[in-house]
Amino acid sequence: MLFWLYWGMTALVAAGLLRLLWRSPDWREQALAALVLVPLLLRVWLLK
Amino acid sequence: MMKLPAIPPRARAWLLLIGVALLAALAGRDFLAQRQPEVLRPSGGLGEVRRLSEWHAPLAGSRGDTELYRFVGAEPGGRVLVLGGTHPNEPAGFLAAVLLVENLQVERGEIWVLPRANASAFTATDPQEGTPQRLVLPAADGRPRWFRVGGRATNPLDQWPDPEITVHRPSLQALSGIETRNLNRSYPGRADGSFTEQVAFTIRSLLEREHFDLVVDFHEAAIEYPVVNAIVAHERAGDLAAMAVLGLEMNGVDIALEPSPLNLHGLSHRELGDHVPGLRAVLYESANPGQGRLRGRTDAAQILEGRDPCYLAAQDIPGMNKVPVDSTGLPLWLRVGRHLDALRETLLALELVDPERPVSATGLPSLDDLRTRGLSPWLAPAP
Repeated sequence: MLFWLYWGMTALVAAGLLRLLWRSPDWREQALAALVLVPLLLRVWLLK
Repeated sequence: MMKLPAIPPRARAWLLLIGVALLAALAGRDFLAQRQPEVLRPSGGLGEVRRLSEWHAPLAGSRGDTELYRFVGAEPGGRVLVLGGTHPNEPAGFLAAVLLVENLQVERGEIWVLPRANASAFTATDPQEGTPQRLVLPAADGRPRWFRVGGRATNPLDQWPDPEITVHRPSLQALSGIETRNLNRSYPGRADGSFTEQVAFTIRSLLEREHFDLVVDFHEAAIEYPVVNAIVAHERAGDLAAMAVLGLEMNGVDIALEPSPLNLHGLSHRELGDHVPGLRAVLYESANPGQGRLRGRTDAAQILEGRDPCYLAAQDIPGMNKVPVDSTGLPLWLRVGRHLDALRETLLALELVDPERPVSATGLPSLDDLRTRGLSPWLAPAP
């Protein structure tokens, strides 16, 4: 259960960040999204 | 609002992603460098290199498996195991074992050296401690050699999560949660226990199956810790340790003799002494200014030179420092030299208490050698 909760929350956060990165007209929001999204995806990839 | 030149948002997103990925790659390279072990250059007296997993197969292929250096004398005698790197955040414990590996010439009996007793703990520093990842020292040829500074406990990637309270087996003593990854709270260990308990079990099995006479565990402690600049001895090693302390004091080395507490479980001197028949177990502590709660900025210079302005100031508070601190500091060569001198005196004492199982060796620098020439002449050139 905790496993799926972890993956679900990670996917939701990643989707929100991706949306912000892709659609925001403000470069600062995009930069913030990139700074959080890349380590998040790396964490998923490295730790699994 | 600051505006960048007109770049379409999606192109900007790609640029930002690439930039952050590059930053992450640089940070990742630095992080992964923690898992790279330094190369040791054993002396010509080396008999063979074994692996710890030979005494507990499940350890093979894990970060707990590590090299065990066996030095054999021309004449028969006893058998001694030296543990370095039980706590890789205690550099003198590791460096003293490195000097053994790179200089030891055993004449009688055998000395086995396990320089990275908790090899996993070498692969990660402790969170929020700000310790450097490496020390750099000039080797005998003047070129630099680096040595890892690790954490006190097993890498959480190898054992996770920590419980709220650690229950030591078999005593059922309660310890704080993080001690579950502390090798020196995990003895005698369990074959099917946690990662750290399995490392402890392997060391205990090695001592038992190979019929060792003595185990010596190299450590360091904070200056404000009560048990520091001391030899801690299991009751079976009490006479041996008392003789070693006398020998050191006669040579001008100020050192205390501490009996291993009967009711403090998990420590090498208590559990290995209790669980391995006939084994004498001792532990050496030197004072490390880079380890305590009072310390200031923690960097490689502080560890090497042993100077810290906060401990210097604490010297004015009666009873705060358990070891006198002055402006000359407590340099690494001094702390390593104390361990090596203590080992020399312990081996002399072993011959007195058990004349049929002597162990003697040459090639090691004395504290005076290190005082005058430093550590470098005893560090083999980098490969």
